[in-house]
Amino acid sequence: MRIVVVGAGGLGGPIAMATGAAGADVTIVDPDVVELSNLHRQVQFGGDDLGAPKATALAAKIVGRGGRARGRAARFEPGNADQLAADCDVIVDGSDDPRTKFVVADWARARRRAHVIAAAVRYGGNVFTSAPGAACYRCLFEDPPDEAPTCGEAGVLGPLVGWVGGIAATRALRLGGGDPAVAGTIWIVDDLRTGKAARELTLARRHGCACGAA
Amino acid sequence: MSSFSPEQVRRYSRHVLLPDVGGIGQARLLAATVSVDASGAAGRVAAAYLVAAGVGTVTIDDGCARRVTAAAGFPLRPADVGGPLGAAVVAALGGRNPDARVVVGAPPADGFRLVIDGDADRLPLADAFALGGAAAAVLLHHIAIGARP
Ligand SMILES: [Zn+2]
Repeated sequence: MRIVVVGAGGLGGPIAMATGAAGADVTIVDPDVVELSNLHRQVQFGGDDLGAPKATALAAKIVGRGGRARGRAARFEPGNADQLAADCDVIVDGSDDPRTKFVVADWARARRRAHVIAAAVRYGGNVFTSAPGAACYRCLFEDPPDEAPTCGEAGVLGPLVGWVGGIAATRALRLGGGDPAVAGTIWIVDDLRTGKAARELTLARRHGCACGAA
Repeated sequence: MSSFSPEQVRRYSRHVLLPDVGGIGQARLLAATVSVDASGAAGRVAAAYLVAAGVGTVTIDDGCARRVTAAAGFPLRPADVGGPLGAAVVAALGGRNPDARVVVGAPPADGFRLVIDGDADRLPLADAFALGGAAAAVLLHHIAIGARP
């Protein structure tokens, strides 16, 4: 199973390490370097990694544990998506950028790849899971938001990204294992402070969405 | 409440921005002691998050001096297999954060205790992140708002 993980930070770390530990061949894409403000939640990195490119540093940790991984220090964009992800079975977004999430989701739908889009900010998060034939990201969210808070602006409780990233990894592994039941769902923790259990919804395709015309 | 060094301000900025945490909540985390049952994979992942978040003392309860099994994943490494579990977790996490002291030991009489339902040594890492992350997140919020053990 070949998995591309977009983002090597709070979500991408758990996603890449967990899928790598499960035997997947992992390609990690992230343009950033490790900063001190990452370390309260990005448990894959320590002080020794400050200043290092995240994608290659994370890949090295997976390889050091006997896994197969490589890092690409790049932003995932329409212009390089085919080159970065051409041979993947599943693509997972764990970036902290709403625009990138749409780039990943649109590419996956156009290229008919199973995909998982994960997000976490403050005290809540969600994991969207799709594959050809199931509801797409735009069936649910339509267009990128004009303004969406990022962790850098709004903060995030550190271990929340482990929770959401772990769920995203289980979904990616199920998709990669050929389990169709998980496609067309979204898992949501609204606000962990409420003590309410996370919930999972099954999504219908939206009438008029571009995915219906394909 | 204590004041933060410039390094701490940067390290914990994403926490200090949060409603319910802020500088006061982060100071509570820095002053807290948490004992973690590290006999399971989710407990060990949770311990990594507590250390990263700046919990001042993280006590690793290794279940009566167990050994590291071949199933043990993050934060342990292949070279740890066969060695004493508590010491391996301390070696993996100690030094990760200068604000967090990581020690092996039984749960202290006071302080917080983290034991995760459904945890197991052989839990797949994806499930360990989900379970351990969830448990650590709820506990950190609890500590940050000033709740008692
Ligand atoms: Zn659609």
